[in-house]
Amino acid sequence: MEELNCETVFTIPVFGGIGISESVVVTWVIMAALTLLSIIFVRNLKVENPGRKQQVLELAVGGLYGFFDDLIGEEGRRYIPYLVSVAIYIGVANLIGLLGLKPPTKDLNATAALAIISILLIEYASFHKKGLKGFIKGFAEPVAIIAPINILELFIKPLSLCMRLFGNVLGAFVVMELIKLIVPAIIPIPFSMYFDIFDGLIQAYVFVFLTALFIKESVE
Amino acid sequence: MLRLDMNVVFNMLNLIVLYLLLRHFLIKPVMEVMNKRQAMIENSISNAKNSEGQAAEMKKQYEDKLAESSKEGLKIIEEAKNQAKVQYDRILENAEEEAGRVIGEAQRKAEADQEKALNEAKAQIAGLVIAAAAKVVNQEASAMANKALYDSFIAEAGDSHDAGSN
Repeated sequence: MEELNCETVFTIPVFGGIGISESVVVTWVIMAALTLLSIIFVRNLKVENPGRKQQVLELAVGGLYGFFDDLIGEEGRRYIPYLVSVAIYIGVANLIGLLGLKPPTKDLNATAALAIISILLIEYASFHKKGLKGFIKGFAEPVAIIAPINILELFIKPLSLCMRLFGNVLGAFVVMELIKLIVPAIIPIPFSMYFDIFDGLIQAYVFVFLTALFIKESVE
Repeated sequence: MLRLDMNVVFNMLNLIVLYLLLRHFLIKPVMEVMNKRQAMIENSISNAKNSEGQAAEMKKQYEDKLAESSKEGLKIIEEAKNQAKVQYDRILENAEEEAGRVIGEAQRKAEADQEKALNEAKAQIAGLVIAAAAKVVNQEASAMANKALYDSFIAEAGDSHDAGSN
């Protein structure tokens, strides 16, 4: 059961030692890789006669952008880059187990961070659109009596986002480990296809999809 | 397994940094290029539409001009025809007049000649008749009185002859 835990990779020796967990380090690796790849692929973009590489890149980025644009509409266009970034990050994070690294999303800290940023963004979007008065009034809609529920939602939304992602990735990981324990060869391949690749991408999709929906809801 | 500590903050920082990095290095340039292409395509479409409109307008102008010039040509031809007709009529009239004049002159001349010939013939006939009569009667009557007598006779005979022939 050692694999289930996220190790502390190293400790910063201030304030009595701050442990840096594996998820943070793997995220650094992902960040570095994504940034490097971006710089490499984005070089020499042409407006006319794009190469095959550029076409694939445009298809991917433009596709994600268009997907969120359809979801979130005109009002929330400024939040699309964040959603695209998160979609790419969660997708890569869920798939990085294939490379032998521990997925950061298997650490509650990472999913909690994602969820907190998302709820902050959702509430900021509402605040930015409606102003302080409208933002506070928004809690009393459609009727004042459900204000407590609306306030409760502030915590439920991120909690559900966080726990869904964490639970799925952890669950998939546990199931895979158990299968590998019983049959170490061949049989895990189709299961790995599902649990490592499909489930990981689906969870990335669900997370950003819900975030986009919440943002749209809050800017309406 | 379910530990929640300072690493949440680190992960949040990581996320924000990743967002900024990706936005700067990936999303912005790619979307910029795509938007530029979109703008270019729209631009060229509108350009094409503009020039199409211009071409149609020019075509219309040319057609108008063509129709106008053909109308003009017809008018010119018509005018020329009219003028030609007027001139033709005038020339014809002149010619007729001239012909009438020539004929009249010729007639007058012919009449004058005839008159002259007639007079001459009368004179000769009178002479012949006098000579013949002188021979016949053998008498030297007053030539002047006889000539007058025959003149009157011939004039009478000629008149009656003229009246009969007329």
